[in-house]
Amino acid sequence: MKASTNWLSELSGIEASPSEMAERLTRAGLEVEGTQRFGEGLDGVVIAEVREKKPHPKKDKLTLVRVFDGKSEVDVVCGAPNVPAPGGRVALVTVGTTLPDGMAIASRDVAGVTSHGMLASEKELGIGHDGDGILVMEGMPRVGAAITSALSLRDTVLEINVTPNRPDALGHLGIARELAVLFGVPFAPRLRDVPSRMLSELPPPPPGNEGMPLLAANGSPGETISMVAPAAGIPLTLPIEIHDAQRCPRYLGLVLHRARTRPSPFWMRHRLFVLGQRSIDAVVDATNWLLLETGHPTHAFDIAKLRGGRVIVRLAKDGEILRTLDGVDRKLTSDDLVIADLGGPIALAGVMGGADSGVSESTEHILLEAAWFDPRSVRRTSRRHGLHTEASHRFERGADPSALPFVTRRGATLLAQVTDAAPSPCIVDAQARKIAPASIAVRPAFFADFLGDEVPENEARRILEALGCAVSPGEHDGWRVTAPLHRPDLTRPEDLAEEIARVRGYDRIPSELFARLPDGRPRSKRAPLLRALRRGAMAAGLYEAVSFTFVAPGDLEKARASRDVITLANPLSEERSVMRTSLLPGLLAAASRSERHQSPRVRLFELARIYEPAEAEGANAVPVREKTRLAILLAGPRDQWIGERDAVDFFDGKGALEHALRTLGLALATTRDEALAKDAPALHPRASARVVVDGVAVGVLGELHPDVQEAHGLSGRPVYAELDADLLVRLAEARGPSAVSELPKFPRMQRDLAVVVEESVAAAEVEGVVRGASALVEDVAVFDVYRGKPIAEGQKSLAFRIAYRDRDATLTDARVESTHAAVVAATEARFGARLRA
Amino acid sequence: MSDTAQFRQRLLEIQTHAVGSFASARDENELRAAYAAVSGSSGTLTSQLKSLATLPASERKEHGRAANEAKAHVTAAFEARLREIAAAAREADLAGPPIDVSLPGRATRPGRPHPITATIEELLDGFASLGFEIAESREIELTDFNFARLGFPPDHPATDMQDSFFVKRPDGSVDDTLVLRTHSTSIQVHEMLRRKPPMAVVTAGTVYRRDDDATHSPMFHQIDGFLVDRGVTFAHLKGVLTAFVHRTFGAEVPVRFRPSYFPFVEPGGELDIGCTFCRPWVDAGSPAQRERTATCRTCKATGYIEVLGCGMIHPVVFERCGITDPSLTGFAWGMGIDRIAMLRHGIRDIRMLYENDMRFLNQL
Repeated sequence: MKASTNWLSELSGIEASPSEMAERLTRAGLEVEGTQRFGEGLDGVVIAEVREKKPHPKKDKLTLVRVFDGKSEVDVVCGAPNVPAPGGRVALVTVGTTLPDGMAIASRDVAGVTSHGMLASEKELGIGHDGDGILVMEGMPRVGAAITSALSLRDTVLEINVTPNRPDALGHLGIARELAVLFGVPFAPRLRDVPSRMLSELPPPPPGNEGMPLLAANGSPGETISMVAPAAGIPLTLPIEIHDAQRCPRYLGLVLHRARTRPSPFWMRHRLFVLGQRSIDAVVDATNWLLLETGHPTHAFDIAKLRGGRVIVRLAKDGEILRTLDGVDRKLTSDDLVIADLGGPIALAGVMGGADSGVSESTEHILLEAAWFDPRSVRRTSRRHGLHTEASHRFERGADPSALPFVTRRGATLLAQVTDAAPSPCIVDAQARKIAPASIAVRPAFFADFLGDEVPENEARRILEALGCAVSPGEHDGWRVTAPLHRPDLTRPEDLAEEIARVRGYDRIPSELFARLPDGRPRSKRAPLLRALRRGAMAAGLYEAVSFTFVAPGDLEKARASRDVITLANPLSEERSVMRTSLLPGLLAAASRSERHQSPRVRLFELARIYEPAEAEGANAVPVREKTRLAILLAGPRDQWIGERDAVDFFDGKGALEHALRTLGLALATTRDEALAKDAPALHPRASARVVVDGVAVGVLGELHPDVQEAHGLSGRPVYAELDADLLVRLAEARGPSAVSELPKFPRMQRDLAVVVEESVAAAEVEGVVRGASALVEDVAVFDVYRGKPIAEGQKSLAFRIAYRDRDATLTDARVESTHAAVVAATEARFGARLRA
Repeated sequence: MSDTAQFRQRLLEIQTHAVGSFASARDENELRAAYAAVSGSSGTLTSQLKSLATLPASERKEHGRAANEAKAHVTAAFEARLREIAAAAREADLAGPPIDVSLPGRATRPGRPHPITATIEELLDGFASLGFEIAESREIELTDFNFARLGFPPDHPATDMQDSFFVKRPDGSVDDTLVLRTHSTSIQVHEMLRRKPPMAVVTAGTVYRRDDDATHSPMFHQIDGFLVDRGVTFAHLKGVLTAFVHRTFGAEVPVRFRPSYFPFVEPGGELDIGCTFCRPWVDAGSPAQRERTATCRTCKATGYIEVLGCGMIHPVVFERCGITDPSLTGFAWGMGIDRIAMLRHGIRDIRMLYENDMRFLNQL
């Protein structure tokens, strides 16, 4: 909401600086997000009177004008078509002035004639949209006066972020009321609501409607009102039928005759301009002014275009068509409230008028609508038709139903003033339902108890009353507070507490730590364990990735992930339309990106959720299972020293996983089984494994399947693993802190063993046999795998370093030799392995 | 010459030859070879010692002593020469040309956390240290939990297809009961239904809204928390959140509360902290400070940055989450993570956060 500080000062009588107003409003919850200054840089522009004008001798589009600037006569050359006759007042930009748009004015030669200045348009001066001709002043402003003061051009506009609970602040009157409360002054805006002219005939209200005199009972006496004869054949009132009391409780209609759709006066145009509104004509400008002033939308119909002489507020019929003011044919539904005549809909209630019934250049007689529409109804219609308008914005948030008579009178006053229209003395007031103000029971002590601040009772009362609440005694020595209808957000004691807190200022409330805060110790170890897992992955050299959780179905297909997915009903694009079932697509996308950017070293992990359809079990359940997964992806060269070049492979991935799990106190084994290829279709069938922790399968690890790798344009042998992090957390929790055994007192002895086995024999199998052969075996580590001569094809040599120790005695050489011999015998027996020389 | 004399003579020759060969050895390998030629299993001295056995028993004792002396002498000479050579090698090593220290290091490079999770951890720790327990909840949420129970009126713009992502049911139908949570505030509903007061909970996670531009990502992150107990006041809200700011951003950072609106709190507010980039409180009022603040892109010259929304929990939330005891009150807050992470790292485009470009992650 843009607010002119000039206007706010006029309405509230507060003369504070714009920055002070901004500060107070922000502190009270109407956040001023920016300010814009107008009327700057016009010091060298003065009001001048045209003394003489004649055509330019050479250029027929130019005019030579002699103007009087208050001190002397000056000759200027003007290209505009609308130089007024002698006596007209124009804006002279004097020599030496630089205009806000950067144009510097000097004496210069124009086709042989010297021009000593420039006659400027509104647009050139930056004070309006009109650039078609020079600014010609109405009235008789003082010649020689600076234009900024003569036309009140200086203004500062506040850009206020009005939160949805404050519809009252969507008009200058409401903001002025707020300022009065904040500055502690009484609010009594003197806005003229008595039109300067009126139709001379007093009609009775139409049958079925109430009538309301146009002149308010408290209208200022002594106003002179010109009486105007009604136009022949044009009704003085129009009957109004409300068919849906829920959506439209009240509708006021006022007929105005003989409006002139001419340009509006400069003061009106200028204020609309600073508030970012384009001037259309006097009728439209007056209703826009009324909106910005009162915050209440109104609408003007052209009476000549209404069919059947009555206005009907009803629901649309499904399929009915209305061409709205923006020229679009809208297909309506039975959930759209419309204003209709006997021929069909003429406006989308509270959203936008119809193109055929609106005012135009030819309009003479007007029906002015001031109504209250149900916020939910307006919101639905506005959304359904994608029409967010100044009117719908306000009705959605809740307009003030009690303001309708004033708004109508004020509208009549403005229209009479700028269009010469004469309003009917009778407003038709269709009231289908009363809207009752909220009545709130509250103990005055509640404010202090709830806010934690001493709030004197009389101050609380003063603030509430200043805001428009009525405070009367209630039950149990409490108060009964009646909220004003312009504050639909006030319905509970807490709402009143906020009013008191914000008017006094949140900064006035003390700051206090809560004494009974719990200790915050987590009930489960999950959060710290997940955090440890992340630390472990980072320690293993991996960078953390955070990918979009929604992916394209094609991404899942390319990554061979499950396509039993959760689908979005309204995705932004196909690319992000389903929830991922694997972390692989995200990491693959990142790896592809790296490859494309010639930075093939990829070391990524992601600890995040995947989403699977599931049965919704129990109340408040959702048919989704969210699982936390740890995924790692390594690609590109292994981290070696200069001169060494090797791509990462399976074992780099395994090492990283071992590293990561080690921080949870977990050790992993990798195994192969029949179901692996089916469970991990994205992995290389030969170079992949199941990851097992404490006997439980927790996920898969492997080099990428060449097809998957190729589909993502990756080189080398990227390695991927995806583990069930929920399971890892449970395993780590079950395991608890590691128990430490006493350090051995006796030395250990090492022996090496190299055995030649069939290619299909896993190192771990040999290791298992070695360990099983003697209780003295403490450690077995593979230190070499050798294939090639003299080993036969299809066989390999595995070399192990075996550590023997007796925890209770020093091992003798003889005992080691005999134990080692037993180990050798066991491997020979099991694998037919022979010792390698 | 008697056998005895011959034996002695031979010992002397071996000894002399050995000491000479040690002296002429140029490095440790040559020295060890020379030593082996004397004292190895088939060395000259070893053979000589073995020949003791052929001597008459009467002479063995005396000759044996002489042989052992010779052996001790040879060993001592060897060890002395070994030390000499080691010392010379050390000298040579120390005097040699320096290594090229500009070559890269040879170590495993540890990875780095993502700026989002790093920020989340830091903020969560701030609240955990104040006594809030860290919790998690689902991202695919009932619209009831995401909106209605948090006091959003029906037809609130946020409940619209325009602003929120709705989720199809597994059978493919759309009935607007499922939504990707639009805020982590839904944790309140879960925890209020589950816990008994006092409740002090904080959560952080992924949330979703239908926006996509340089400052809005359709997926982003929030942290949310709340406290419910008897006698919780707005003053406590201010105290706890101020303590959080001071622990997380520094005790010198000013804090400002101002009114604002969220459907699930009343009174509602926003907390601004002094801009941690231009730091207006440092040399406040000096020309340098004024210049710093006036040109600060982060706070747009206001001296403050908005960090979180907060307020007293709205009674309608209590009602809809089954808390009926009227003496219970509470406060809640929520803050966006992405913007804070972007501020910390000078990231201008939010999309960089979710591309996982190694060149970007490497810089963190």
